Amino acid sequence: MRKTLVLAVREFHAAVRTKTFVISLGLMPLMGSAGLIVAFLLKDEVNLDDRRYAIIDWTGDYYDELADAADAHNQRSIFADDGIEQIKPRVRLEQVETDSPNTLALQGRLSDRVRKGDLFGFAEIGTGQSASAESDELLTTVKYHTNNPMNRDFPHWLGRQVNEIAREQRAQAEGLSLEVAKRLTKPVSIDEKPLYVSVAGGGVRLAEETDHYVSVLAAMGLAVLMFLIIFVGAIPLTYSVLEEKMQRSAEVLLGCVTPFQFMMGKILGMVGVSVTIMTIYIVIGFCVAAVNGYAHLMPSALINWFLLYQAGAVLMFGSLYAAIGAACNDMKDAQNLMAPASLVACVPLFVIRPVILEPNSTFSTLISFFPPATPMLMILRQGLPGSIPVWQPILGIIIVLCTALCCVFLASRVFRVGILMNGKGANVKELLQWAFYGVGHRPARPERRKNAEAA
Amino acid sequence: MTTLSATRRSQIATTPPPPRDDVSAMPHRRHAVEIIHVTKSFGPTVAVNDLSLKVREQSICGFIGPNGSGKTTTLRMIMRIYRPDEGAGLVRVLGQEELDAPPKRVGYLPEERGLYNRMTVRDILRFYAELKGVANVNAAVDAWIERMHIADATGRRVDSLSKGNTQKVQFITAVIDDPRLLILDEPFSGLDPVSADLLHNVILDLRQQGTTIIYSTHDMNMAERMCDDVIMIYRGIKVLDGRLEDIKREFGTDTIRVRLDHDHVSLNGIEGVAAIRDFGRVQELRMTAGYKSQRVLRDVMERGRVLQFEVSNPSLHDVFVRLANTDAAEAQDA
Repeated sequence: MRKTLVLAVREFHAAVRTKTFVISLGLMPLMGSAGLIVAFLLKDEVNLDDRRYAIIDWTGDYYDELADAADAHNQRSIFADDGIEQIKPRVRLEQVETDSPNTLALQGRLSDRVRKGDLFGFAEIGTGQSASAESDELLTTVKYHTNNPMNRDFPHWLGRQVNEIAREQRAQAEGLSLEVAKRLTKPVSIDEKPLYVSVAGGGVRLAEETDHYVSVLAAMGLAVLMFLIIFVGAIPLTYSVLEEKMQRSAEVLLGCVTPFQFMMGKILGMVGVSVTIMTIYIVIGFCVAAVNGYAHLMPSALINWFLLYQAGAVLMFGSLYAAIGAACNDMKDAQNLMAPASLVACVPLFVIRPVILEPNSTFSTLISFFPPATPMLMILRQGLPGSIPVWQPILGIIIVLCTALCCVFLASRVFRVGILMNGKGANVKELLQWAFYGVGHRPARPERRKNAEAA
Repeated sequence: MTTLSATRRSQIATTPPPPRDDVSAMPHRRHAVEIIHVTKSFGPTVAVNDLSLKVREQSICGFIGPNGSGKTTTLRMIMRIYRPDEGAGLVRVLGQEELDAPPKRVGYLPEERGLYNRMTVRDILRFYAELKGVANVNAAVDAWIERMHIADATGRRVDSLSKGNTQKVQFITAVIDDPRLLILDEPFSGLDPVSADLLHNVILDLRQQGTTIIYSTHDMNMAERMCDDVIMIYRGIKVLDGRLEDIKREFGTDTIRVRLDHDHVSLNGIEGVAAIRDFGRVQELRMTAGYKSQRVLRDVMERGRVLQFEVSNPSLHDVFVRLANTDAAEAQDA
């Protein structure tokens, strides 16, 4: 153990006393929040060119009011609070004559104009059937055609306007006043609230809404951080081992430590690095929260679990990546073998949505006991509102640690063979063979040992 | 794998003699290393085949053989980096038979060596001292820094050192804990003559202090100068084992070194000469059995003015070449 710790301390110092460590310390949160930062920076970057839409109003009842609504929109809703700076594009409507005998030809022409960029889209109000047939039917659908389906501004605006107009027209048709119609159709909203919590003295109170959202955000944030930590903590082991192999320093070390101690020392060093990174972030997080009066919202228990799972995850994936480094002879070989290993690490990302939606479902429970996914998913489930049974994280950490030990053991067998092997790099089949059967295993005659002793 | 005939091997393999008088006063186990019927294979390739050898304690044992002969594999088995094939023999190092950990108090300087380039000399020496459990790390590091004359390099990073200084640092990492067995694989490669002499003296000092040294090399001259015993491995099989003087005596005084005042005089055709090696200024004649040195001298004198005429044992290099050639010839015959 002493030798392993000496190796771990050297690895730790070698990693943290570099400019790369300091830079990555700053870069990692930036990478994690890059999407939010970019979205914030680009929030005002909107194309303000007028957007032209064609309206086919088969009913003949909607266009005029829509045009008025569009004018009102262009005068009031496209400017910033100062009323001067335009922040949204103008909506320009164009009425399409509905007397064309060939509906399909009309729709085709409009589609071509959209493709050419002359129109942003076109909408059809009504079905285009004969007026007599349609007069008895209530308008239920407006068709909107565009080649920019991700832009939802216009369909939302159009939906609101058409529903407003339809409501008024239907109320008038039924002889109701507009006020009555509005009262009858007033929507009921759902106000989402957290659960009630016990308070000192025996009572209960409604948990603060900030608790509710902070716990969700913290869970998701920690899960993403776990994913980043696995990569930041484990992948460098491949390059570290490979570098040692290429610099020929491994055999000197193997003269005084076993391959297992050698590899374990390197991995523990990286566990130390990742724990250091997390500790720095957590301390900074607590300081920021305390300064802003939110220190009580920091999920302390979850952070303790996080550190535990993080250590297990880096052990588990670190051994895998260290074995890859030992088995390869150059970066290209290593990258080829790292791809499938990284894919395993990405498993939690594939199932994160159903787990967030139903953290206590059977699927979520079972998938969070799949060792490569356990650290990330268990932290996510623990952090989401609606706590999971206490045995689950305990069982999870036992599974992770047992798997990590198995991985370290098998990886050390690969390491023992690969670290001194030059020439061709190993493929996956050879890696598995080294891990489970060793190499050069050629049993001698059973009596040979006896003969040797006798000699 | 081709092997020498059993007869040939039995002719040249000798049993190691007891320890010499100058070290016999020290408390000792008879053998620092015992390898008994050990085989090591890598897939279909047998790197070491049924090898047995013993290294006397407190001796310098030359471990010689051509590239690919199995020397490094044997050294790695001694260091427990490789395990022998399952059930195949026994490797005992300083009385230790445990196969899963490097033997204690053994220093190892492999042929393929490297250091952590970004560490300073002092840091890397401290690292190895701590790794090997040295009690007083700073004192040991300082002592070796002074002994190897690298005091001015202690604060420098390894990747900024000269090749000679790097070699010295690597040597210190192997001996920092005063090992009882020191395995050196080509320790002099890349050293200038001054550094080589320094290292040579340190190795002799260590032997004098009781350290057993296994010295693996291709440099026969250095092996001949330093070694008490010699073991030669060829194609995974031991073909030579014994005290150096015994080996040379066994091969007999069949060698005559001749120096004439003209360097390019041919000595071909002299009766009794089996082979000639021309070193430029000296020619080495290998004689057939029953040759008459007086007659050879007379014939040589007829070719030119003789400056040197020496009847001697074959050099270790010559022994090495003879054994290798014998084996190659037998392989061709087979």
